[in-house]
Amino acid sequence: MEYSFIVDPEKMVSEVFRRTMVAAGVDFEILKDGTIKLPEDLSNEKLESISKELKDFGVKIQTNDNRDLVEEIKIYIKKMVYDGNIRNVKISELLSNKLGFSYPYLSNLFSSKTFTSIENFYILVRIEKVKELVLLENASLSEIAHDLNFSSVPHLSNQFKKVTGLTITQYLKFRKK
Amino acid sequence: MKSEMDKLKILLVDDDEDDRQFFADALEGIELNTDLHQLENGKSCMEFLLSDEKNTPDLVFLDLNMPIMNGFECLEAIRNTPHLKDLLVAIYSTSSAERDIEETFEKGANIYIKKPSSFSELKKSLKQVVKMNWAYHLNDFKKENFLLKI
Repeated sequence: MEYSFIVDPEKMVSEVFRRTMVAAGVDFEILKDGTIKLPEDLSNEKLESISKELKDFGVKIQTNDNRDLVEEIKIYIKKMVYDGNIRNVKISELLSNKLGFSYPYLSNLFSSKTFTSIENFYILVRIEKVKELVLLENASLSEIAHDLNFSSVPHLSNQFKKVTGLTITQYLKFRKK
Repeated sequence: MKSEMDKLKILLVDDDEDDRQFFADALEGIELNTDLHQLENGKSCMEFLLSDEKNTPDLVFLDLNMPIMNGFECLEAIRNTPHLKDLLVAIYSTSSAERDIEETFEKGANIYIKKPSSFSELKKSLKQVVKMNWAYHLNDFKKENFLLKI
C-alpha cells in the first residue's frame, strides 16, 4: 500500500514556531496578518538563540527594526581606529559588548552583507590610518605599529604590502612624487 | 661623553618578543643613556642574575604572565637572594587586576606599570621610571604611589 502525506505548510510552520517559543519560554502573539509579535523587552541574546533554532527549519526572523548593524560595525571600527585606542584590545569583544550581539552573529551578518569579514575590514581601516601617519612623518614605524595594534613592525609591513601592493617605502615615494 | 660604565643597566624580562621590541624602541626613543638586556622568562632571568653579581642591573622591568617561571615567582626569587633583595623591580604587565597589583606589592616590587595603550605613553612612563629619584621614592614609599600613573 502506498501512503501519501497531506501537509498544511502554514500549520507546520506555526507549530514549529509555537514549540520553539514555548521551549525558549518566550510569550508571543500571532496577529491577523500572519506577523508575530514578540515581547518588546526580548533580549538580543534570546532573539539570537530563537533565530538559530528556527533557522534549522528554514524559518527566518525578519524585523522591522531600522537598525543597520553592518553600518554600526563599520562606524564603530573606524571610530576606534581613528581615536587611537585599540592597543591590546580584542575587536570581537568590543563589538559584541558595544552592540549587544554575539560576535559569531555579527561576523556572519557582516560577511553575508559585505562579502568581506570584520577582521579584513578592521585591517583595511588600520592600513588607511597607517597611510596617513607615514605621510605625516612624525611617528616612527614602531610607534605606528604599536598604537594600531600590529604585533610588530614586520607584521605591519607585511599587512601594508598585502593590502596596497606596495611596501611602505614605495608608497611614500609614489605619494611624494 | 659618558663612558660605558655610566650607562644605566636595564633588564627587561618579557616572553613576548614583539613587546620587547616595542620596549627597546621606546627606550631608544627617549634618548637616555641606558643599556638594555632582554630575557624571555623568570627562569632565564634568575640564571642570568645568579651566574655573576656583575650582571646585576640598576633596574628590572618584569612581566607577570610568562611560561616556565612567571613574574610573581621571579620576584619572590629575587627578594630571597641576599645580593638582589634591594634590586629595583618595576612590574610591567598588561594586567590591571587589583589582586595582581596587591600581590606584587606584597612580594616587594617597587613600582607597577600597566603596559600603556599608546607608544608615546610608553615612552613617557619609561622616562618617568628611569629618571625617578629612587632614593627619595624608597624613603617615602607609600602604597598609593605603587601603581604608576602617567
